[in-house]
Amino acid sequence: MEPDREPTNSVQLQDSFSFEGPVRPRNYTRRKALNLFVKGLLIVAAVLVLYPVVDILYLFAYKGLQVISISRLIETTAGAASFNPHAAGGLANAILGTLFIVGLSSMIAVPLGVFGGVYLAEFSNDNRFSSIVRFFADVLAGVPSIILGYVGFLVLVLRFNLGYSALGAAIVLSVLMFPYTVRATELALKRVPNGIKEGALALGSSKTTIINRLSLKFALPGILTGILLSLSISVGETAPLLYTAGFSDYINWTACCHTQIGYLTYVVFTFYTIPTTNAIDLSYLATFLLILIVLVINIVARVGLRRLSRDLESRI
Amino acid sequence: MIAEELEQEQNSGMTLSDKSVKVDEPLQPSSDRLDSVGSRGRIDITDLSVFYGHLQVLKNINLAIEPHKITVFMGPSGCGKSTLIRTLNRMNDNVPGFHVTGSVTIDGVNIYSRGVDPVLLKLRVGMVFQKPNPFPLSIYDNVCFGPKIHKMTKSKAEMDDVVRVSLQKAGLWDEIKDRLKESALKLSGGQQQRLCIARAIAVRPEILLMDEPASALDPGSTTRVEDLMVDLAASYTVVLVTHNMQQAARVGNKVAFLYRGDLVEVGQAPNIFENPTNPLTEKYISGKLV
Repeated sequence: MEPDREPTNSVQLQDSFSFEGPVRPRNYTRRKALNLFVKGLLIVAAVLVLYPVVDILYLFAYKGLQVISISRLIETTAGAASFNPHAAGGLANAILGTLFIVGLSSMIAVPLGVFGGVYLAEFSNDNRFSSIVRFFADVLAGVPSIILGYVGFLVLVLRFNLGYSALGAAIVLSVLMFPYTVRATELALKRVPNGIKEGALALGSSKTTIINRLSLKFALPGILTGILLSLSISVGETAPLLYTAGFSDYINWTACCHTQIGYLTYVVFTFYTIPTTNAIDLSYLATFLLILIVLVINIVARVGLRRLSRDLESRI
Repeated sequence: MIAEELEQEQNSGMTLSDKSVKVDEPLQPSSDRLDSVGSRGRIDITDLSVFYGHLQVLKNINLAIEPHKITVFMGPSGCGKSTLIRTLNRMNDNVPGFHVTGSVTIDGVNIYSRGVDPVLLKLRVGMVFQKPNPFPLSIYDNVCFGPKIHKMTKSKAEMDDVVRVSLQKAGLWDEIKDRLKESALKLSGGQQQRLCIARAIAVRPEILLMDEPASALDPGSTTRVEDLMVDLAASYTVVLVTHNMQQAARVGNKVAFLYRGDLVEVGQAPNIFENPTNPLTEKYISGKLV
């Protein structure tokens, strides 16, 4: 039987437990229980993380869908916040203002950020200057936006005499977006396989040719992800805009200067304190629209860009 | 015709400065250049030492590499053979701390002299790497990448010709002629490597550097790439790095054995394996050198 075939083994093992019956370590029950406990803890943590998001989405979707109407999307806030119980009005000026400011700011932040990222990844050779740039980009990402807003107020609104304007707001927002676009571009370019760059170099390509024809193509999904992330952050900014954009009840396409412009976060920030039903409804609607915009941007970033990067790997 | 002109040029005793202009001359697109190179593409390495910062990687290398021959650099890992081959087309220029003493001349022009543009140099000295590195583009776009960025063709038809001839020379045309628009990444490893060879010869170089081109391939693909090297040697100067001695013996004309940055021995291919003169070479060949 067994002991004859493996004498040494069985002698050693017989000290701790016998071969008969199921093999069961002494601390088996404790281990099992601990395992269950930790698993439970992790699930609770996951639910706690998920709960606020679901709650926010539910509350504002519920409220938002109650107060949404065509007229509230196409009318402006002019007179909407008055104490007249029959006041009407909508968010058209705020919606268009938000899109205008964010569009303007990405026109500044995207090219600058992409060029900066290309410099850091491809031309800096990791010199001292580039590590300083990288450090300040990271610090900038952590600076409270209200401070950026105040600096924008002092420098742009007062010193450069832009007044409250879409341009001042866009410049401050672009400073806010800059770290994300720079770092996303740099990281995406650094992920381009070295073999591909060497292959192109060996064909007599200049650095610019390699970046233009191969690296940027390869890095595109990563760069777009960074841009979209920075967009969704800037859509939700309030403090910098309070300092630089002012607010206007009217639709206003003027970028510069001394012309105030409306935006959604202002409505969220102020209208809920006005004790009329219409103002509070508009504040709920503005919140709902902001969440919707951020959600759409994130879904595009995740689904659309995943498909793009898969295409890049399989097709071209 | 062109071959004759090139030969005359070789024998006319031009001064160094005249020739350094020739290194920089843009290649004239001409359809027969792909097939005839003449006797250009001779490399002379004189007292070459290579440093990375303070580390000396190659010590006083002297070697002549002849056109239409396969010259093999062989040696254990870290002996400097890859550094040496990358020094021949200035691929190391961007490595921090890289500098050379001595000279590498191609057809009489020192490629490290001031008038030489490393970009134009790479047009004359193509390279194939250890790991196949096709671009994430179509097969066609991979091959035409070089000719396109250097604007070497005047028409689409001419480009089609360049792509076809390059793929034919790389022995890949018959397998993939119907799927030129497909992604190069869909090809097998061996096909990818032959595509990289086609891509390298599409810019009509005179010299082809191959840094362990078969070491990541299966035996069947290795044989195909080796056969291809022998074919290519008819038109190009081929420099091969390998640590596979059987491969060196099968395809090499001239074999250089490097060890710890020194050029230990240079010999003709069958001889060096049968009667190595240096004891180090003998140890390496018999597998005793670690």
